[in-house]
Amino acid sequence: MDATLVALSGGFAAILTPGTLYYIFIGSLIGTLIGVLPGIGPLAALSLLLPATVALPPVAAIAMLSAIFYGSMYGGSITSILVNIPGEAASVVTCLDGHAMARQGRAGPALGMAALGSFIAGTLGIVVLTFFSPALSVFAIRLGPPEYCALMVLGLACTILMIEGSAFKGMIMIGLGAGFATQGMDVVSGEFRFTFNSIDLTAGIELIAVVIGLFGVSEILTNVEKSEGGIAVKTKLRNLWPSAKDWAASWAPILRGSGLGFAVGLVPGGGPVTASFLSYALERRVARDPSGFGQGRIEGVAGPEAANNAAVSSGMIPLLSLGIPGNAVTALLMGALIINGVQPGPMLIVENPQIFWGVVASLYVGNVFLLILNLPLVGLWVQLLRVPYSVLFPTIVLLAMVGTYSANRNIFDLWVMLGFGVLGWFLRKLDYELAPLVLAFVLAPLLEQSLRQSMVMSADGAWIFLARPVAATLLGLSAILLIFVALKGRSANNKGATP
Amino acid sequence: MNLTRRGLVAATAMLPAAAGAQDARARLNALKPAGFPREPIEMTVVYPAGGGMDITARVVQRFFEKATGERSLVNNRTGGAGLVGHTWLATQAPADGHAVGIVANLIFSDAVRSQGRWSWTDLDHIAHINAEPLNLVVNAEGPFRQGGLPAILEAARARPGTIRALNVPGGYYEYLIEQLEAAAGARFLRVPFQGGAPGITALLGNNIDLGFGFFAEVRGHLAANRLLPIAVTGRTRTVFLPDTPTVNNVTGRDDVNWGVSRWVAIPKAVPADRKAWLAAAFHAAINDPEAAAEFRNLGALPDPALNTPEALQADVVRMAQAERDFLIASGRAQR
Amino acid sequence: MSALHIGVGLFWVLFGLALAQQSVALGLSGPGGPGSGLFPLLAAILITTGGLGVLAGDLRRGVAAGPFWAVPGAGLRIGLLILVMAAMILAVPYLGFALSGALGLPLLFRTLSPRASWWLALLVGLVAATVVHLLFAVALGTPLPRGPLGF
Repeated sequence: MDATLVALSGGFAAILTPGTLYYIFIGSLIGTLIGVLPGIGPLAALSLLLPATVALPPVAAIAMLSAIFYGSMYGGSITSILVNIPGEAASVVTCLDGHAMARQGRAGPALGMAALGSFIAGTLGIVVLTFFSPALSVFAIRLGPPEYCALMVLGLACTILMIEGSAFKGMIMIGLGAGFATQGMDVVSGEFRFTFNSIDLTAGIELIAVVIGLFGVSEILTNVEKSEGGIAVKTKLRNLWPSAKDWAASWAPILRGSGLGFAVGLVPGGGPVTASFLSYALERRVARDPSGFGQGRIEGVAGPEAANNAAVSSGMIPLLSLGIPGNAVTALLMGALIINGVQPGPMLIVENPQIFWGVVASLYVGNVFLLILNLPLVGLWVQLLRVPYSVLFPTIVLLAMVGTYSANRNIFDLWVMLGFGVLGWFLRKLDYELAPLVLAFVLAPLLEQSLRQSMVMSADGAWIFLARPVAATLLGLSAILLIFVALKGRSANNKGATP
Repeated sequence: MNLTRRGLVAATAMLPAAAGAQDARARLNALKPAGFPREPIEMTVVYPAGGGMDITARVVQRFFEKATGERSLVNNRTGGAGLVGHTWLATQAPADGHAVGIVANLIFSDAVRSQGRWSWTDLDHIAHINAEPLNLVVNAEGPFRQGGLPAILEAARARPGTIRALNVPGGYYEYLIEQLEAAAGARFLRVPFQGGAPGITALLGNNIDLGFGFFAEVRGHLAANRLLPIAVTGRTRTVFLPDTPTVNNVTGRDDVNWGVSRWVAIPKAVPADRKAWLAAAFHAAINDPEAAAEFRNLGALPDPALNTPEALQADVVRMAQAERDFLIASGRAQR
Repeated sequence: MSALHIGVGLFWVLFGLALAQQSVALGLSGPGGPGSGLFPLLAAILITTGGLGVLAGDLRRGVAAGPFWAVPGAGLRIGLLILVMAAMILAVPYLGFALSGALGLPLLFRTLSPRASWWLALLVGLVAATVVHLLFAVALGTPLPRGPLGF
């Protein structure tokens, strides 16, 4: 413990120079911006800025790139809350209660709690990273396909919990999400599914295009349908800061979100998106009075926002401790390390302690910068609501188009975005929930891949899941969850009589 | 400090330029057609940012800018495990010389998968970058930590279908496993993964027994004694692992020669003068001693025999033919 | 509205069945485990079952009939929005984002604010397109398709 603190203080010493601090700040700023802009995400931004980091010393380079990553988790909630359009896939669930709060004139507390929750969760995550990295990485490395599969099953079980309205409609949404996800290349067999001889379709459907279309474009269409200039959000605010009551309601979701997000982010394939969805489902489940979720419960903002930031922190552990990338962004960070002449791997902390601890220290500092950047600006962001929708919405459309294009530089993604936009608008009219579709879209491919890998690996077929303790435990949890749901119903607040 | 590309170019231009470098630049400028390039040269990589091809491309890009003083950028066109990007390069890339592809011998299988839409012959192959073999690795604390490749082959022969090997369907990993099986009369349990890197992760956790990786992917784990190298797939041993035998050494045959070879390709229709300048520019970039040092660090070496576009073209034809022969011999393709 | 609901329910059932058929064609089992078609089949089962449930529920209870469009004129607005967005996407490879935006945004603005003047619409379009272009193409350096004017 002492040795760790000494090493960490060495890391701080390494980064508390004007130059490095400047780059952490720039990264935080760009990250927030990326989060706000719908469509363009941290992966695209990091790819663009990677060349610029070559001229920087390694610590500054990685610190800046990481700051963009977790910065985008702060910024994504802003548009979700203000205009019901997610800036990031990891901010989709924040739209549900966050925007409802904004409509009630409580945009300020929503934004503030999102920022504070993000900060607390991010920092807690980094503290755990600081002290428990070695033990956690040893544990994480032993997880294999059966464990991932069980985890995904648990995640999907939670999806079922999220469904508020008709169970049958929810089934259709999950089926659609899983079905859309199978389109493209089957990684297990190398075959193409549903590509109808088109090269563009071999790439599969891009998540960003789905999210921006389903939640962004459809939101604009829905709003415009209801009234000419769009529905105005109350700009006369009751107050700008979270009240004591808000804190009383939020501290537990923040802690729960931090824990859940941290666990989900540690696993390869899990990440901020899954973490935010699962946190929302968890908060719905554990709330003493689940009524009002979707209509402005601050727990629905605090929990998911905490979860997605915690997931970023824990996602850094396999990268820094083991040299294993868990998702596309950390894979890019690994590439950045290599380009900067640093060899990632278990020896990083031994051979280059100043880089390891410098990056860890930068995570603390970056989160502080982001809190400073985001909190005071709450008042400013809320002024965005004064812009008439006839100006705001077309601008968002263009931003969304460019942002979605930047993911793969493929015009086809724009058609996907528009298509899902129309689909989302139509489905919303008919009372279908869109969140389960997105979650199934994210989880199903991971589930499928790990399931099929497990079946190939196992000599005994499906018994492998019971033979491995972690997998068996997770599956047991899922079973309990599903039985619970079947017996007691999904929530005390079943919307309407439709089964 | 200026973070834009101009700033970056300015910074790299400040690197000490020896008189030789001035000469080289002058020679390049003599070849440069008027009014070209008008915009940054776009180097397309068909794999995600941060991966092995991408890192190589970015090294090439840096030294290209250093050698020519022209702007350039790396563009990742991902999708379909490379198919989308290769298709764009072969069919849609503008032929005005501004679009360039950093490709590898993986393009051959994508040409087959395109089902006749394009072929690697639609591109001109102008500058060889580097090549490296695949490394076979096992877990240093796993059941095969002793005995090397012979032991694991023997186990796969004695207990067919139980030894778990990393497989990425439809590529060299699969061909390699087939050849190992044929050589030893063995049968592996092929566990499918999306790429080499997730497989290495599984190997580290003892979830599979045999893995394959490129040097940059496994180097950190080799140094930390988490993984052991047991063979390499080239025709000769690599300088990075001098004590590790080649697969051919172990099996006593000579049919295993899978590795990755990387080079620069451009659309065939690019005008000849621009083509010549691009070839010379990339040649200058790749042969910069500092570039060679960086590639060395990444575990890949250039082949000095492929120093001209003609030699490269011949080698590309040879590699494509060798792969096609294998596909026919293994029953995957018709004659 | 009830005809629409029945239609949608039927669509799910039929779509699910079609997907199921395609999935079986892909192959349900492969070497060592499930094949490519298994998960699409599971998805198809979910969709078909859900569709049947929704259909049964709608037929049993009947759906409150109401106009499809909440507000008169909404249909026109929605149609225009979708059309303009589609036109913009078509235009981007030839005109680039900035120009397509400068042309398309005024149309979107006018659809949302029919009483505003065309001059205001053009101004909004120009300013928004410029800001977006500066943000993405200049500040971030995103490679974007260029139009005839070079940006």
